[in-house]
Amino acid sequence: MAVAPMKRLLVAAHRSEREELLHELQRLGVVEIQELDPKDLEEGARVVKETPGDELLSLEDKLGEVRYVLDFLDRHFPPPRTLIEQFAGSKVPIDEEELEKIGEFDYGEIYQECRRLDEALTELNNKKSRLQTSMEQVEPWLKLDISLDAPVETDWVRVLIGSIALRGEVEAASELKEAVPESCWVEVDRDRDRVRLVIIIPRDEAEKVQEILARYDYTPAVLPRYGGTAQEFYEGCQEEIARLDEEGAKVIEAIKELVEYRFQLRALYDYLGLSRDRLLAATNLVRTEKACLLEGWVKEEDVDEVVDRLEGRLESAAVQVRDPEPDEETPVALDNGPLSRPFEVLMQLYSLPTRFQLDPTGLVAFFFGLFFAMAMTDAGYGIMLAAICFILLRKVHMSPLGERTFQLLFLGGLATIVAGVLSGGWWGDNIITIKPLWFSPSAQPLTFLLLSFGLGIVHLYVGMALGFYENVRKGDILAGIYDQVLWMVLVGSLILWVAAGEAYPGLVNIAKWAAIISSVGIILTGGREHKNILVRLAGGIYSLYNVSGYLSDILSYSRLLGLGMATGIIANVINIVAMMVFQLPVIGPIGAVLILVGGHLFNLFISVVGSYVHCSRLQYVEFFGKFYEGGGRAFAPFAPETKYVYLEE
Amino acid sequence: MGLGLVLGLLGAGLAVFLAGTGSAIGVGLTGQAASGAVSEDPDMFAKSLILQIIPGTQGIYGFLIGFLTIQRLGFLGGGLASISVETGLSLLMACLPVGIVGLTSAIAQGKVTATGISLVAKRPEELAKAMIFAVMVEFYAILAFLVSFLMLQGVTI
Repeated sequence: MAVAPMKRLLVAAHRSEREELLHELQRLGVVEIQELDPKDLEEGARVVKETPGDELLSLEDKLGEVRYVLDFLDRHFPPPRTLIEQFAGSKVPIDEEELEKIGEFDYGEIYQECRRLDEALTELNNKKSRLQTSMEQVEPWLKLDISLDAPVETDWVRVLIGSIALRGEVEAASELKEAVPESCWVEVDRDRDRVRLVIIIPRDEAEKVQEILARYDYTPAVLPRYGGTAQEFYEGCQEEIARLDEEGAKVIEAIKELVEYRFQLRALYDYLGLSRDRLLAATNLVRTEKACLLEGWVKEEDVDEVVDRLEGRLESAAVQVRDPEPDEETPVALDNGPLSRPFEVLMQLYSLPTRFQLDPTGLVAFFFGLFFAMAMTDAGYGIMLAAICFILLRKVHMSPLGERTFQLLFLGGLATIVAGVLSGGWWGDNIITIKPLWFSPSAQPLTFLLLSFGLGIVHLYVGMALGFYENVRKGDILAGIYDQVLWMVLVGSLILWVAAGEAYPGLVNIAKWAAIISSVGIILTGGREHKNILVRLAGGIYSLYNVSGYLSDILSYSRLLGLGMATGIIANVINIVAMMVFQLPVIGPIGAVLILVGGHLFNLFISVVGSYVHCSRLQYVEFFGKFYEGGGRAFAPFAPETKYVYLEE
Repeated sequence: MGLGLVLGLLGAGLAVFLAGTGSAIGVGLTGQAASGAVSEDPDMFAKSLILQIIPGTQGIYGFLIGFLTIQRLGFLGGGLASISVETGLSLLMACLPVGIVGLTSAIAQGKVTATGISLVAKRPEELAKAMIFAVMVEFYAILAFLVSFLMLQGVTI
């Protein structure tokens, strides 16, 4: 339970070995490289920043190309991913030698092929959508059985092809007949609101006809030039589309053949990414003409390994290690025993301590486990949770955060089993009835509530004690007395006052006086940052109002009762429903089993989510509120970061 | 069937109906946001599901209280209980906290989880924080559920 001590590392090497140096550090993954500024060094004139230049650009280009190929393949053949993989990620193990080999993989041809196929597909799709547009235009005119390139105008007549609104049909026809008796009106087709027509008129009457038709919403047909009927054109288009689809299928087939390279391409992507990361890391270094210099942080426990490896594998490396300056901020890594290590996740999610604060992970681990178990209170669910986490940890390669989280849940599951044995919960308490070792929350909810409050008060007191300790460590023992001890006395005496009741009048008396004295103390000291006496007293009275804050902190622990009972009640209801289904003929037993399995898994899921988050809140708000500042910057060592594969030792 | 029994049924119905409505709205709001996020990144599915389920708990609390009430009224076997109007009214009262708080808190929580989805879409590593915001609202639903349950236990039939 501590913040891991850090050391400052200085490495100087010949420039020709820069890449080796960074590669070795990347492999080790335990050194955080700090950016160096030539101006900060003494011989500023001869020292400049390391710049990777063109090499980096060409790597970025290659990465872009491989990314493009992978995206292209994924678009057409999405890789299958299970729910667990979506959540925990899935990486394939690979050893370094193999990865180096894949680094030589020539993806150029595949890239060109993908480009070509991509363009072919785009071209096919464009053609297809053009055809579809023409088909849509022709579709209303399928019954027009003249050649589409038939002349629409001769010396004497003009042929109008178009549609008018259905409701003006009769009027339009009669008006046209009256105005231009020679006109010929042929109906081609009609639908709900349009009549499609061919109208043949004398050419010199065209203007008059247009005028009449315009009143009836005449729209000329848009037809392609084509040496055949509309029907023939339409069928031609259909055939063409079928042909395009066939061609498209061939292209897809060709893409499918490339899918077999997916693994190499993914590994290559990571290989290039790792090389790029080394070049980017190099920008933190400074160099002279022949040498380069690197500085960084490393955990004390890793110092020996780093020094050995660098001096052993590099010919020119000179390594120096120093302690941080007394007030120098270092990046923070936590260092805890195996049982509390998974709970570092909770600290990471909130804020890490700086190296000048104490690391509360161990206490957080204890209380989180305790409260988590109380919020679940069911041995059956504890067994399921621990088993599921155990299997996942064994089978799936996860990110460090995911791994810690599941380890945490595994320990939470074990604690839940204990709580379940004490409270007699085995997937509810109405199918498997095992007598509780202690008491059953559903039979004695009030006892459970008081237990929650009691443990909550212990939790808060530990928080206040830590606050006192921090103040003492800073040398401000008075602040510790004013801000923590007085409050501990006040809150404690108030609780005693209520709890002792009329049964112990002597205790009540003591509690009353302790409460009054500590209140006066708080009124006198609570506003001590103000100079003016009156303002100071007002501030003190105001700070006494914080009693309500402590009250709501304590009441907040009632959520443990709510969560714990909800788990049990839901489990019981699932059992009751399953029993009811069991009595149905034929499907009964199967249905009952399905309901039991599905129901309890679902209940486990929501109970775990609820317990995890509520217990986090009890740490972050109620506990940390009493003493914790945080604000440490997380130690971020230069390590291999990959998307698809991970390096096996 | 006496009036007391009808009042008890009304309570069970209200618990399920109010809390269920709230959860339906909350889960629905979150689902809409989740669809948007998943359309951008299909890997958001599993994480969205966790956030979406959170406003669903109020409906479960309401269902539980409703179920236990029906059970105590004897509808699930063992013959109908004969209860007075006062007892029926007490059962109705016991059902109200989980129903009403379930309704309001599930909607409020649905809004929090819906915005939580966009938080996680932008920063997938911040799922835990999005969940903690949602659970701040959950606390009040738990309190209401607890009070409903204790009231229900207290009514003797």
